[in-house]
Amino acid sequence: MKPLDLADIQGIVLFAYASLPHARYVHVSWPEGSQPSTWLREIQHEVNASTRGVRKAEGRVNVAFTHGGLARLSLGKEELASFPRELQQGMNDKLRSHVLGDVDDNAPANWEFGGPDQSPIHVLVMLFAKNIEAIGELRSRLVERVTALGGLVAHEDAGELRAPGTEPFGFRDGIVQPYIVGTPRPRDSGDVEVPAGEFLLGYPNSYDELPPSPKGTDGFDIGKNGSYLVYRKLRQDTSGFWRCMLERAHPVGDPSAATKLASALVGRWPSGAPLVTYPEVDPGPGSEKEDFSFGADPDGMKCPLGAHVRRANPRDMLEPSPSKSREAVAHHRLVRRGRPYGPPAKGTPRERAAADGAERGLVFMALNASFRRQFEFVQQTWLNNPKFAGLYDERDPLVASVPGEGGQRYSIPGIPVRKRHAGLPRFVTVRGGGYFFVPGMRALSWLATRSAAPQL
Amino acid sequence: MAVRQQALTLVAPVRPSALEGLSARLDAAESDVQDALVAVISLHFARFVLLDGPAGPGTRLAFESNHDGDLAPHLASLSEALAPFEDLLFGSWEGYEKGDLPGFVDKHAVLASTFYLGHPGLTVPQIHNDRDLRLRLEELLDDEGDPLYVAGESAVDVRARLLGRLQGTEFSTGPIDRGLPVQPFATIAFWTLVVLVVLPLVIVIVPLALLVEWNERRTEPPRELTPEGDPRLDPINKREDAITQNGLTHHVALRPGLYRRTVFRIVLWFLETTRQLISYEGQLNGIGSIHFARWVLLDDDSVLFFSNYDGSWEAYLGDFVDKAHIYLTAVWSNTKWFPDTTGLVFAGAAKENAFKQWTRTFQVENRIWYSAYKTLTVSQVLKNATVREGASGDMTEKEARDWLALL
Repeated sequence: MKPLDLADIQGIVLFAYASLPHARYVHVSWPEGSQPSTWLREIQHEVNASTRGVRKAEGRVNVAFTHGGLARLSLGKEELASFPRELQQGMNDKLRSHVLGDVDDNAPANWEFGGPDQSPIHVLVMLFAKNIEAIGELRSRLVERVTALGGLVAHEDAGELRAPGTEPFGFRDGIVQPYIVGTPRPRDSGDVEVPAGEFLLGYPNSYDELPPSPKGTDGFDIGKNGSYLVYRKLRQDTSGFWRCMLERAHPVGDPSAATKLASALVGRWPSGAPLVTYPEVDPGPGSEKEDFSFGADPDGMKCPLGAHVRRANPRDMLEPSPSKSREAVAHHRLVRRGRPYGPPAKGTPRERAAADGAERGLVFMALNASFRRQFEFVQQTWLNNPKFAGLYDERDPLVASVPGEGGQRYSIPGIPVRKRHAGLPRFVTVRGGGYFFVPGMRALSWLATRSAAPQL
Repeated sequence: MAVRQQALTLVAPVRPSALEGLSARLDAAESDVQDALVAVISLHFARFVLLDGPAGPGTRLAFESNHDGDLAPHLASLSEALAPFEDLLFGSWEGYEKGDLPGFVDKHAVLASTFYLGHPGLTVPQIHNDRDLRLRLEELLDDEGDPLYVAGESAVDVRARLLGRLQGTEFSTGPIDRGLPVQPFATIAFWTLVVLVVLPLVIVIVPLALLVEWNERRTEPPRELTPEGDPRLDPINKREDAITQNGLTHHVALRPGLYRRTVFRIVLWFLETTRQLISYEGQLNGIGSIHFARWVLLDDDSVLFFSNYDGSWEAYLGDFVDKAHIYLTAVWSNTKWFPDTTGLVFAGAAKENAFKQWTRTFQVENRIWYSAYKTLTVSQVLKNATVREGASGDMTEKEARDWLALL
């Protein structure tokens, strides 16, 4: 096993920064004539690597670039062409939208930022700190220079980690993460070991190959110790979700029946306990980390076949066999770094169902070494696939893009016959996003000095 | 009597006078041709695609059909349905005589070296019947105004009531003869073949392969694979994932030399022979997403691959790499620019990134592509057939419960 070059890997790749609950995501656009290279040279020493302990008190800074951003840093045509097709096209490209299912309300034309007719995003500055004051200081230090050098803040999101890791619908989230061997923190129970090359360029991946890596014309390996980042702002209609659950519960309006129905959509109870193991009642916190498989529930009698947890991570349930399934699933893992945004939603299903007009949701972030084999695959072949697990015409009940009118179907198997819900509305809407390259530390200074060199 | 599914492949040069703008004219006609083909009830999947040929890029027109039963009635039906497009489609072929598709087929049909079928013995009308029957049953189950059962009722009773509501409809129900191989004889024959024929061949082929591979690595010019952002891929990507299935067309030259030509034929002969023996139900080495696929060796020593598969390209190719790389390497390692192999069957298609890039390099955009059941995966075709089989006759409580769980 090749040891990880921690000093060259940006911290965000290996750490969730759980002890720094406040985050800011600043999307910067560098118009023609502005000075992104100067900015990068000035701030590059502020960017944090994965070596622990340094200046943690002051927070953490990481940066990532879109393909357009790399072009702004004066990379040559040939160098730009060596990046993956998905990064070159960008998340708002028509072909990518087709693959991702970003249509109708989710289409980039309707986004809040990052859409085709909005300021192009070039750099994503990610800031993490212990409290609001610290994050404010960090922000002014990093972002003041942006505006001074002609850059624009095109969009900004604030993410906040909440104990104990609950997403806005009210369910425990981020329970299972791939564990990169060599990460300087202990592996959580339940986390699956995944080769570093699934998330980091320059290391063998799950096929025991080196992922393709972008190259400089001077021979410099730009990709080494870098990663690719998916950013998606997902608005969650929490009151709509709970209203729908209460209306469809048996008996109608019964909070515990509504919670049970919501859990059947998710595949876990609000505590995170898996339905496969606890099909009847929520055992409460403490069971979320338990490892489980779908093998004992082939017909979905405990956890419906289209449940979110199955689609996001099918584990052993795919054809042709449990071992082949686990092998295949290992090629499509994501490291998630998302955080909720907006005021926390709290309380009983009825309290949550009462609309307070606030916007809330998830800033979804994921790291992978291949957009198309990892993030896009999960989105297209699992979450949005109407034929997943032998189903006829259903998509992920929580996060899928539902095209057209008429809403979504969802079957809950039962004896003697299943109950099929029809006309379920969309609960999650894409508000913007982008594909980014997270360079290693050496690549970062190469990018900064590169741009100072005379241009070809 | 079971109806057999057949593969028809036609490949012939385009008349020079028809070449100008042909691909754009085919594109423009695609949706009308698709509509017309619905009338050909023996047709599962079809496509027209332009291939590179001795006369230059895009100078050959290829057609495939995956059809039920005998060729003559299929051709009659095709001719009739496509009559309005005859000049554009068949008439573009050099040597095609108006009104004589069968005569042209006699001269230009190429036999598929290997033909894979995902749901053998199910005709198009049968697949439609089974689909519509299942949709009807689902609707009946969804009807909350008229509940099918009361709590605690047995599965046998619920099934009986459900089937009772089908009365007066025209669906065919119950099992049919699909002409599937009789077990365990087929499996015994398969292994006999492997032991008697293949093992000795492997002993000869594999050592030779190591030598040939070493020599090729030394002498072949570097590969020129399609790079990442190549706009050539855009139109191919645009066509993908429009319906449940996709049609992959791939065309690549054999590597030169007697060894490659011979081994390629042996490998495809072996795959075809074993396929006929054990005619897998919906799964090829654990890949359950292929309706029909074929390899065809053309007379200029190039290899044509047509596949009609479910889901995304990325998922399909991922299955190739994860589950079938040995077979695919054995076939395609004999062709141009294939990723480096070891002993004919190892490495090659197991190299995920290189194999996918190689596949994209030789992928050809379909001009016209048709599916007779746009919303069905292989596993649904088979599941619907199981629903139909179980929609007549008596069942035990356990059988009735399992049958209801299919809905």
